[in-house]
Amino acid sequence: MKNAQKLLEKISQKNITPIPKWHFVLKNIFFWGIGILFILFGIVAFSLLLDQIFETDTEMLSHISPSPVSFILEIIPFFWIFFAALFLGVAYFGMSHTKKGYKYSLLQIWGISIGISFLLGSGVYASGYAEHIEEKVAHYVHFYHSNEDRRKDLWSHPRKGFISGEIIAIFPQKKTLLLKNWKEEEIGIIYQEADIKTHQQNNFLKKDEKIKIIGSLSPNNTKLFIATEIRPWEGQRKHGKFYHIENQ
Amino acid sequence: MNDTTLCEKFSDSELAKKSLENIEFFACLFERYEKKLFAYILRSSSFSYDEAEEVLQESFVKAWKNLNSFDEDLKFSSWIYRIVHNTTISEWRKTQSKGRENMHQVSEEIFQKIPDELDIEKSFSQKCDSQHIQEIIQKMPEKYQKILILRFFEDLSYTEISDILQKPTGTVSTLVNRAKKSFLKTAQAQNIDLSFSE
Repeated sequence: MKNAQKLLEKISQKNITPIPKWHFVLKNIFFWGIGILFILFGIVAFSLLLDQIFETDTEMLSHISPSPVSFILEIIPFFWIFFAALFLGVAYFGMSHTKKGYKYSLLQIWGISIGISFLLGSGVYASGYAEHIEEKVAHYVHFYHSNEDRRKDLWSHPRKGFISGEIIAIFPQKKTLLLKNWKEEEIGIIYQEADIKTHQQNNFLKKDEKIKIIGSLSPNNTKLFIATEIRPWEGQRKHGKFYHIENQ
Repeated sequence: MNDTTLCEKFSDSELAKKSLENIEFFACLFERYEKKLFAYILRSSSFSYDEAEEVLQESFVKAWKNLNSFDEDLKFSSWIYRIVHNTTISEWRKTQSKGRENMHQVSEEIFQKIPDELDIEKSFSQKCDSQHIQEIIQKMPEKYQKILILRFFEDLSYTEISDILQKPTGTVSTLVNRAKKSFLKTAQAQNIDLSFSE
């Protein structure tokens, strides 16, 4: 018996039929879907990564001595770097399993994915949506440490010269104020020698305002902080450049 | 149905399409590639003739099952080589796990062809015969064996190999270069004389 005939008989005996075309079409769509979906996630992760970088008060760097390494490590957005890499990894998996995915190398697929994420992620960040997404993530993802919380942490090191919180009382004649930090502890602030900066607003040194302060703890009293610079809590990114105002 | 004249009228793609309507056309495709693929199975494994025939049958059963996934942008030969290649590897690994040694059957004709393709300036001397080539190939890492066989024994282009192995063309090109080096290195390690004559 000819081999071709043997093959046909085998197929016929086992009643083997071709798998329908829609099965392969669906499979291809599935992998394209995974690729595109995770590139979209990558775009979001990248926009949040930018948001976290630019949300950080990098001006703190000039006040940190002798080495700012630990501060830099604290502000690197590891969370979003990890997720951006993870999403792009899954996107690669999806893309490489499409019908023609094998024609492209890992470098080509990653290059394209990173390029798209970088461009569109920058767009999402510039449009201001990244901040809203970040708030949503912070709300729904319990283990996620929000930008706001990170800033609060960075500005809660009185021994390193950084403190922040809400003004609960102010005494202009004595150039002192009472601050409630994020742990609800009260700290006295002397701002006689402080450089006060604001965003062209009225004097923000009033009750209920949130502020951040650079200075040092009083050597005699850990509940007393001597300010050398006071700024509104919201950073420059949201309200523009800081300006000095008279310390009256 | 599958008389030679009728089969010859159609291209591979047309036969693949027609096979879905009438399975007899599938026999045309089988007959068109039978010899070539049978030789490929023998070269890339050490299956006996009967075993190679069985692997070929199995490969075509898989091809029949997946006929709807055949992409017409691809050459049918690349597609069927891919299926045969994968089936051979998986079947061969099963037998290797049972302790069988790898043996490649290399013809004199192939032996004549390798030197030029390896871009070695001059041909192998008559001292280096097909037995030596068999020995060298046996000792080479599996990934290089396969690429060497596809490129130099099957005479396939980089694009075709890329479609068969489902790797980017650049990767195929790198692998071919490495396989060439591996071939020479293995020959040296085995003290096989690759001296050249005018």
